[in-house]
Parts: sequence; structure tokens; C-alpha cells
Amino acid sequence: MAIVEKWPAFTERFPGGGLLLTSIEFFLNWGRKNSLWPLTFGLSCCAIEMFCTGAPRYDWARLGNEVLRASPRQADMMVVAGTVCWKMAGRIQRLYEQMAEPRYVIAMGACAVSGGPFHFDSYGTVRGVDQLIPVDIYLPGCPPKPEALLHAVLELEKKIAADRLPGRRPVKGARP
Amino acid sequence: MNASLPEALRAAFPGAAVEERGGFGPVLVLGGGAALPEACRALRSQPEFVFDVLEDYTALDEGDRLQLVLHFIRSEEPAVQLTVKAPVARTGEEVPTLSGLFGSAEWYEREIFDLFGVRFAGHPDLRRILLPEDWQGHPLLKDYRDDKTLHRTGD
Amino acid sequence: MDHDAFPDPGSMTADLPLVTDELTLNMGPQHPSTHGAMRLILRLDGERVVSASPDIGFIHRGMEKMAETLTYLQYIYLTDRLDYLSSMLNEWSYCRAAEALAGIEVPRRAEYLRVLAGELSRLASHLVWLGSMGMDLGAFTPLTYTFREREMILDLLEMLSGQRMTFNYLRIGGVARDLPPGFADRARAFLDYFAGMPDIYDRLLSDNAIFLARMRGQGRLTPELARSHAVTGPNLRGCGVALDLRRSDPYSVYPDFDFEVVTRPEGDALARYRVRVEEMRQSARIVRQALDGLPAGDISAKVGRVFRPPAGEAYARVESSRGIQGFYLVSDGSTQPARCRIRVPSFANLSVLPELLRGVHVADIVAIMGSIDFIVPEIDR
Repeated sequence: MAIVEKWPAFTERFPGGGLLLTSIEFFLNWGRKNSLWPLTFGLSCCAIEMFCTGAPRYDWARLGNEVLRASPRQADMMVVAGTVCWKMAGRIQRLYEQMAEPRYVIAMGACAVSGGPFHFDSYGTVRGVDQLIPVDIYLPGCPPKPEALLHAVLELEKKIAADRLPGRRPVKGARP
Repeated sequence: MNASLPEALRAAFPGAAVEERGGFGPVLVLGGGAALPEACRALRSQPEFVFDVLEDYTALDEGDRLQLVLHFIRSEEPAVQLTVKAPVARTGEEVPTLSGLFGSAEWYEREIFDLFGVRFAGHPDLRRILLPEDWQGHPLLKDYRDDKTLHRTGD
Repeated sequence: MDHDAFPDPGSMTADLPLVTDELTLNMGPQHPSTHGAMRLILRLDGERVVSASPDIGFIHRGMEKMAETLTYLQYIYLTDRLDYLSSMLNEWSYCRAAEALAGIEVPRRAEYLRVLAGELSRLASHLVWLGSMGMDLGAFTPLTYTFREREMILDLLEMLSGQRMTFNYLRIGGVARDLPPGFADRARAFLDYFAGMPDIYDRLLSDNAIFLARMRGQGRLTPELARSHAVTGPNLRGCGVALDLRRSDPYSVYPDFDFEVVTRPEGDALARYRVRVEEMRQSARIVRQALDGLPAGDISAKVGRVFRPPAGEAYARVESSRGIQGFYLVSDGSTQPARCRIRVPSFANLSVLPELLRGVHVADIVAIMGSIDFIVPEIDR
């Protein structure tokens, strides 16, 4: 593990090393962002809009999200679509931990972002999935239209394109 | 049948009160939860009633006591509806289960136990159904307080 | 290779005691075929299910308690989120209960608009069911067809209410908005297009040999079991009991409409499937009649800005796409309900699942669950 983390910083010191690393990052990121396989993880209403995004009219397969994988081991992206409740909270954490890196999370819908319509007066709801797992993209809406989910996936792709190999400084101006 | 249903109920259940609500069927108010199995058996089997579907079974918190509310419907024509109510104490009273008479009662009674805390004697599997097993308290009671999970509007 | 010369494995081990263990298998709560976050705890003896116990509550948002702190009008948009595939029908049963509390009469035009919106919603729900039924069994193509038609319905409903899925269209006393210009033509064009679609779905799925083998005889529900577990909707009509509130206990303006109550006697998964496909045709029929017979008038009764019904209670039901959905509202004279009880069809429909799954193969679980068509957020509220 140590050599995987140290070799970019090591390579960078040599002339041409930065160019090599940037090219590697370009290809790694290009491959990763264009084939993000989502985890089938619909909880409530937003899940249906996620289905519609996979259905013929909006069709996120053209962005590379070709297959939805039921097993978290094979999925790259978890779209938390729906309300997160206390009974489900531990399972969401376990699913996230089971996903292999690099893994990304889109909090789809107002419920996953902050609890949504259930933020007040509901005893069963977790106010936002970011209380449980790290979230990359927050997508508000109740439910967000499929175009909005496509936009979220494209924003995630931009974020992935700015990924760097371990040990390198972040790209100037990239979103955290 | 609709017009004579309140009379038939009064005749069959002399100790109970029968209220009529316009358009939504009569309400049969029993004396207590202990009278439920007998009454439901009669409602299901007697030929003038034949209320064979226990559509819904829930509870109300009326402050000083709880009220069990059952909604019946007939599956054959005419599809009349009937509401049965039975008061129970907030704590300490065990209500006899209806899960032997109606299969749907099993899960409904679990939900009443989960959200109101009413215990049902003779229930095959009385445990929480909607909330996690280790949840404290019964949320649908009016005096339920939970500062950890419940944010009130205006917080 | 002469198969008759092979010794029969059964005969070789016939006198050996077979020692097996029961396997406890967890299905869900994250599973593509559980129609939401539901956990099914299966005890298996080899490939056969010994017992199946559903574990629910993963989407328990406490909607019944929330009603006690929101006003009657504020709660309408939350009722959408129960059975979100046919949201108009949820709103309808809630609004009927609130109107009953206050004794409000809904104008005829509003009732017709409610029927129109409700039946389009029911059609959209059955289309999702058909697509996911096929997908659960491994047939992905019907999903693409049904979602294509559903998108057209969602376009219509978006014209009507502004939203694709959770509409917030009905109000206490009527509906929020009248038909926009161009809606009737577009709706009729859709109905003309849709007229031939159930036949295409039949050709895709209903006559497929594998589909029939997987569905015929599976999950046989008897009328007695269905009544005992308060199963309603297409599940009950699929075992021969003709209970459809639109005809048996008519509400709104349904007596004006001409449609069939679809039943089938067999009670298996295939019967329930056929009932729903036929119901799609009937819903399209009702929508056309609603468009043709739409009377002029108000779209809502005059209800004050603050809705404060007198103390009392009301229990109003509608025939939702999954069965009888009812709202039991108790008012204490204030602007918020004292109790809002939601009777959801999927709760009772799911309670019969342990009976249906006893003794079936693991691979048939998905077919039976899909044929019952429950939706978990409705169960959990």
C-alpha cells in the first residue's frame, strides 16, 4: 500500500514526471467517469425518477451508467434516492463501506440532502444522508426531474475529472 | 340492508351504543377491549352482518384513555362499512387478540403495540413492526417526547 | 451415452439418511426486487422456502404523527408520498375525508377532473408495475415500453399540476387548477395511441412460454385467505371476489361511468397479472369518458382560507391501484387533525405474503412478490 501512495510524489520530482502523472490521471479519470455503475438503491419516490432516468426517454446509459448493480461490491456510485430513516441508517453505512473505492455518492432528492419534507416533526427520519456517509453531489428536488439527475451525474463526472493521484496537490479551482 | 343495519346492531349488541354517521356507516361502541373477540366473531358469522374483512385496526389517544378503532367492510354485495370502537386504558390493560379470527389483525395489532404501547394477550408474535427493535417509547401517544429525533417546526 | 445405463442417484442414496440444515437467508432491505426497502427473512430447506417473514419499517417517516402538527391543507402534499406511483388517488382519499369532516360538497366539474387525474394516475401505476414485473423476472424490454407510455402520461399530468410524480393537485373542496388549453386534445391523442398498447404488452409478456411457466399456479390466493388478511384491489379480484369500491360502494361521480370490474377466478400470479393488464384498458376507457363528459362549472367549492372543521371524525376510502386506501381523520375543532390514520392497501396485501411463500422455490419468490404489487413506503408511512 505504501508504494501506491508514495510513487506519484516520487515521480513528480523527475523532469517529465508531472506530465506522465497528469496523463495517467487523465486516462484513469476518463475511464472512471464514463462508466459509473450505480447501485440499485432506491428508497422511495426519488427511486422512480431514477428508474425514469434509466428508461428510454432520458436514458443515463448514454453517460456510461449502463448497468445497475445490485451488489455494492460491483457498483461505483450510490444514488441515495429517497428518505433515510433510522432503521435503514446502519444498513446504508454498511453498504457504503462494502463499496470498493473509488466510490461516489449522490444524495438525490430533498430527503437525502436534508430530510426534505420530513425535516420537521418526523420522528423516524435522518436529516440528510450526509449524517451517515460522505456525499459528493447534493441534488435537491422533490423529486428532482430526470434531467436534474442527469445534471448531477454530469457534475459528478466533472468532479471525477479533477481527481488526482494520491499525494498530489489538488487542481487549482477544483471543487472540494 | 343499510337502513336496518343500526337496528340489527342494537338488537345483537344490547350493551353497546350505536352511533350513526351520515354516509360512512354506523359506529358500534363497545364497553371495553375485552368485548372485542366476541363481537367480531358475531359480526363475521351472523348472517345479517357478514363483515368478513377487517379493513383497518388502529387506536386513538383520547388523553385519559385510548380508543381502539376497527373498520370492517363486507366483501360481498352490498359492500357496507362499519366502525367498531372499544376504549382501553393507556397502560396496564391487555386486550385479547383478534389474530385468530382475522389474519390481518396480526400485523395491525403489532403496529398498535409499536406506536401506542397496547399489549395484546394471545398474540403469536407481539413485537415492534415499524420502528427499530430498540426504540424507546410509543410515538403516536400524545405525550411522546423525543428530543433526539423530533425537530419541531420552528426549532 | 445411454442414460438408462446410469444408476439413478436417488436409488444409491435411498437408504442413507439425508442430513440437511436450514439456511437463513436475508433478502433486502437493499434488493432490486423488494419494491422498496423491505427485508424478507427467509428460512430455506435447500431451494424451498420453509418460512418467509417480512421485516418492514425502513421507510417509516412517521407521517401519521406529522399530521398532528401540520394543518389540513399543508398535509395534502405529504399524502402524495405514500403510494407515489398513483399519488392522485392518495390525495383523493385524504381530501374526501377532510371534506366529510366539514360537510363540503365538491362541484361536478372538480369531481370529473379528480376522476380524470385519478385514472391517469392508476394507469401510470399499472405501467410501472408491468415494467418492474417483467424486470423482476428478467425480461427487461417491457420496462422500456411501459415507461415510454408512462412518460406520456406524466407529460399530461405535468401539464395539469406542474409536477411529474407527487402532484399536490387536489385541494379540500376540489382541485387546484383547471385543464390547461390543449390538454384535452393531447390526452385524446395519447388515448388513441395507447389503445393498442395492452395488446403489445400481451404479445411481449403474456404469451411468452417462460413467463407463463413462472407465473401460472404461483402464489395461489384463496378468497378465504384474502378476506382474512384484508387483501383488496387486483389481488382480491384476481381470486374471483368482485370488490371494487368504484362499483361496490361508489363515490364521487363513478356511477356516471361505464367500465367493467375485472375479476379472474384462478387466484394465482398469472390471474393477478391479467387483472391489472385489463384494468389498464378500463382506466383508459374511463379517462376518455371523463374527457367527453366534462361538465362546466367550478373547480373547487368555496372553502375559507383557514380550514377548521368541527369536531368529529370521518373515514373515507378510494379504490387505489393497489386496493382500498382510506383516511380516518379525527378533528378536535382546530386547524390540525387530532389523529390521521392512513389505511394503506399494501400493508394488508403484504401480510398475506408469508402464507403465499410457504413451500415455494426461491426463484418464485420474486414472481409472487411482483404479482402482489405492494409498495413499501406506503406500508411504512
